[in-house]
Amino acid sequence: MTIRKVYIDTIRTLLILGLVLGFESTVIAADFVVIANKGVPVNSLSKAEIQAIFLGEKVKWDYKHRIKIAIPEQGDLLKDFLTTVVGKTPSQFDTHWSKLAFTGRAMLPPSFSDMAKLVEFIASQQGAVSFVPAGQQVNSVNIISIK
Amino acid sequence: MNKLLTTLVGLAAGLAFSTTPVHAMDLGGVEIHGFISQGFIQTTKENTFPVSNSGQGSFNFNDFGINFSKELGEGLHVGMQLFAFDRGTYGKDKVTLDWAYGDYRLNDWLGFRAGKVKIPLGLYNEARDNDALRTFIFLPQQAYFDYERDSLVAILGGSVYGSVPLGSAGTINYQIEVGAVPAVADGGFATEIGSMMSTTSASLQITDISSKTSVAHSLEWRTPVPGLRTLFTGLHTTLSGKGVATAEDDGRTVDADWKYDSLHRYMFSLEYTYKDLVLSSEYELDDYTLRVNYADPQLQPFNSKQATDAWSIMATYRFNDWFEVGSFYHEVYADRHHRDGSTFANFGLFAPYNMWWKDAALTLRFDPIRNVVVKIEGHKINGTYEIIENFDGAKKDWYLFATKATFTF
Repeated sequence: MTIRKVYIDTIRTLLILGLVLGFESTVIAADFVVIANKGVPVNSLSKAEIQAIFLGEKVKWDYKHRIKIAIPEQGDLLKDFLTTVVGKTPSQFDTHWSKLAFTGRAMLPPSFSDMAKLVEFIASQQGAVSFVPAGQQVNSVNIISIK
Repeated sequence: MNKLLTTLVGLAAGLAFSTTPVHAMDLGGVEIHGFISQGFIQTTKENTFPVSNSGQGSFNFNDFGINFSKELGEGLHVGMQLFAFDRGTYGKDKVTLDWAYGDYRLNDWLGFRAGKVKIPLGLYNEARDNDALRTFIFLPQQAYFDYERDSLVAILGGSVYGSVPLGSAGTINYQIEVGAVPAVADGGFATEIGSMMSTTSASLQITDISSKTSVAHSLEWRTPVPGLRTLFTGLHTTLSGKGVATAEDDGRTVDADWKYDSLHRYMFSLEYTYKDLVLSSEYELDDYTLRVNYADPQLQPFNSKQATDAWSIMATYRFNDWFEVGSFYHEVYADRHHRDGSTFANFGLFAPYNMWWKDAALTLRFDPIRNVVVKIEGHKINGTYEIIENFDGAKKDWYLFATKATFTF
């Protein structure tokens, strides 16, 4: 059996496995909420869409509005969100964005250690999205549910 | 220029350290990143790879880089990176333009780049210059050959790219680049191909190099299986130019035209991430033809079709914020149709082990404080296929030890 055939068979198996597994569970119980600027034209996002946004793959909400992400610098919150939704540890997420920055493919998203300042940033930037601890004061922004 | 780059990087790093920990410097909307890597390498005395060290070790082993990016408008940004590295006989800390391009992202599935763009080969080629972005000091060499860092890493031209969601089937990320491969005649790659086109009749030194229109492509499938992605990448190019051949019988020099013809390089990559564990595997195929014509009818033209392949498996595990371990096993074969090395051994030209490379590596990575990475790495290698300098004297079983410290901002 040639190595090429092994690879083709592996890809075929992965495709079947992916279709069989289907969606992951849509129930995400977490200590964070996803927030967005009030001008963002969506009220809910799938886990896959949030993952694509925070990996820099999805860059527009619709045909007009660009996405701007911001990252909270709170250890447990960051770890919880990244492992639950994005599928990366904080170290892997940092490396992912560093690779984009060191190849010129993207500018680094802004990060905030102060949650109030993060919410203020999201409220003031069109198209902005981030996540904060559940229970954070978020009147000036919209909460995005994860479907 | 070298001192200027070092000064720039050092100054920027110093400014970065003088503020609270940040991911980048920002000066008037220009985002600045950089890295300084200094290492020490020691190999078995007879095996010069990739730094000549006579078995005593060498500090001629560093990388410096600084890049600048600026957002010009919605979805539009420009950037560039200056880079220098040293490996003793090549690199020599010569400052080069590593990448420089304008980038406009129209929407999720379509973006455009124009300028000097890194080639997306395999899991690591695009970002291989910054040691802090991976576990290992030396990646599996066939796919990420250190001698090719000055040439087969970028395309001068344009590219299209994008991300296409497939719903429950995951996401496809693609890139297609078209342009010229800006190879240099006085670097490691030129030394490599000059060595490959040297024969028992004449050795060849490359003096001039250019490429035809080349294509690089990348197709990544982020599968619906959490943590699993696969990548299919490739590079297609032809390089040619002039050289000076030295006849082995009497030492006379002769002009030569050479061609590294129709290189088709394909890589298949698989990566699985489960929490702090990352497993990956890559397979590479290279097909190309080497041709040399001499301006001396006494020297027969050289024509050789090559079909190499290589594979590797890797595992890394991060124990905590400051400690990570990685290991890989890698095999390369000069002739994938005769992996026993008999192709040239049967002509009495080389020993079979000159035609393969089998490398077992172990790396300890430490992140003692933010922005600093220290690595210790050991390789046990069987075979000498990737050795370019002092090839004839190289030992079959040998070791490589390396350590490196990187400051990044």
